Amino acid sequence: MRLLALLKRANANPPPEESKALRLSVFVAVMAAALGLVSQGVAAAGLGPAVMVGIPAGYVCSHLARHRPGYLRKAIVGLLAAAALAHFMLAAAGVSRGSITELRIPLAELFLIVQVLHSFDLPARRDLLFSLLSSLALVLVGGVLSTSPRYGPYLAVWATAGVVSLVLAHRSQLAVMPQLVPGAASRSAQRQHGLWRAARPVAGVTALTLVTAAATFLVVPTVGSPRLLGAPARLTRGAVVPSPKACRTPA
Amino acid sequence: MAARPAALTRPFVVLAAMTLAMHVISRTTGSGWLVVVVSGLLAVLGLSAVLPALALARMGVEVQAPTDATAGTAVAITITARVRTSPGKLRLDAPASGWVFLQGPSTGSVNAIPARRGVFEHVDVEVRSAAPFGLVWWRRRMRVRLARPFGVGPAPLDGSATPPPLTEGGADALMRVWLSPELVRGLRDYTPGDPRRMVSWVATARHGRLMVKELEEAAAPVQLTLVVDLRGDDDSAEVAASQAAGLATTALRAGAEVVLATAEVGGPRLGAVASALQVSRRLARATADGAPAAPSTGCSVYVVRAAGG
Repeated sequence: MRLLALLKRANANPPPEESKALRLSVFVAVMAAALGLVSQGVAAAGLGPAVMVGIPAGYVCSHLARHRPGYLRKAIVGLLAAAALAHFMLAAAGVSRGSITELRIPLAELFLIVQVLHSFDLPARRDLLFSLLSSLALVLVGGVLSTSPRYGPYLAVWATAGVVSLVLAHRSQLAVMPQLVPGAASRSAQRQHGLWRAARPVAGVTALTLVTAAATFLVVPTVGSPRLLGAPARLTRGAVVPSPKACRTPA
Repeated sequence: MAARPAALTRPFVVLAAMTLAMHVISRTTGSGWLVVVVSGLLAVLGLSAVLPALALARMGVEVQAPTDATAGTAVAITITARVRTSPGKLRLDAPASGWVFLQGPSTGSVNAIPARRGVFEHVDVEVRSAAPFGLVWWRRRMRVRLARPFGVGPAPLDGSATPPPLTEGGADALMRVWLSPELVRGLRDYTPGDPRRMVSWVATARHGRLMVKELEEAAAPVQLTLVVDLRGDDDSAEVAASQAAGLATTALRAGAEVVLATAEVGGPRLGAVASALQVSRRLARATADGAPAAPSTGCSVYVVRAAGG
């Protein structure tokens, strides 16, 4: 019983996140990253639909159950994640030596499965931010696998939703503190413009970030030719023997 | 004071590490999309490191404090923040308060607890911002001048529990003030109109008829001079000031006339106090910069001295 109490305390949820806007923006970012990766054709049969249905269902479930401790849910998610990892290890064991690039597909599938499972356990802001970070890993794998401009729209949606998520998460973090009463002018403006008044700073930051990113892209060094880390699969040219009698099979 | 970086958050460090990893992967794999992602991450990291400083640089704060307060007791202080829409947080350093959330121009009260007595002409304010992403915190400390001085008196220590020893004069009168405000002079027969609480049941049982207590006539007001010598270490001075406040307020409640002899910035001061508020204000201004004023002769004197003086 003591061990159980220790486990419960270690897995106790921090205060639940109440901001629906934050949950929605993180969901959009995660879905954009996941669908971008699925669009590269890396998902096994059934994994694509599981992503498209599982992640939205998981986010809804997490929001509705955010006030419950959810120990059973955490245990199930943990077991399924362990099973996914075991499946990946089996797949990795079948990969030929010296060719780690063949691990990309099983790794991408593992990331997708973990993302779907994790969607069901997102009660707090910390969990949402971790999910956002995981979407960065999905973008990493998708970016490596992608060879066409069709990946661009997914990346644009993910980037925009990601920036909005960071801004909303910071505001949510501060909003738990006591607040000084807004001044009369500020209250009047809030009454008049409501949602736009609240969204304008977020939109401004997002636009500034995208412009800065574009400017940074102009100065970041371009990539050269790919440098593979594995050994070459075959020799580039045959060995030249100077004399027909130089090599002999020993008697 | 100018804004300074305060803390790098763990998400910033993780994001920076992932950016570096992505850059290496993009170089080895030749993936152009990763270069785009790296550019975006660099933009986020750069803006998160710079924008909070800009937000703090344009921030202004005004503070209004009450005239009087007591050390160790919460007091409401009004803060007006002139800030644009960037969110941040603010707290008072001296007197100390908790953090409050700022977003846009706002005004309100915070509960601050002064740690020590004294007269304050300014308040120290700390403002922090990590807008817009919450990845890098910057802070700025400001010293805000008050429109009128803010006096913090010592927290009175209860002086009524134990009568203090006296240095000179008036021992009987003072003991009467502290120990027995109501002394029985004798007993007499009950007459109609006598208060029921004055009936002495012990005497009634002995004599077989109703007997009441006869009290001493009210004594002439006692005059007490409290000499408050705060020369010593800071902590002892605070304790001595609190003792003096407790003794003075107890004596006032008992009907005594109290004179405080203290040292202030302008020199020694000797003057009567008529209320707890006046006691608090006098002791808020008392310093350890010199000897307190000498008491008048012919009155009861009690000296409160800080240890180490």
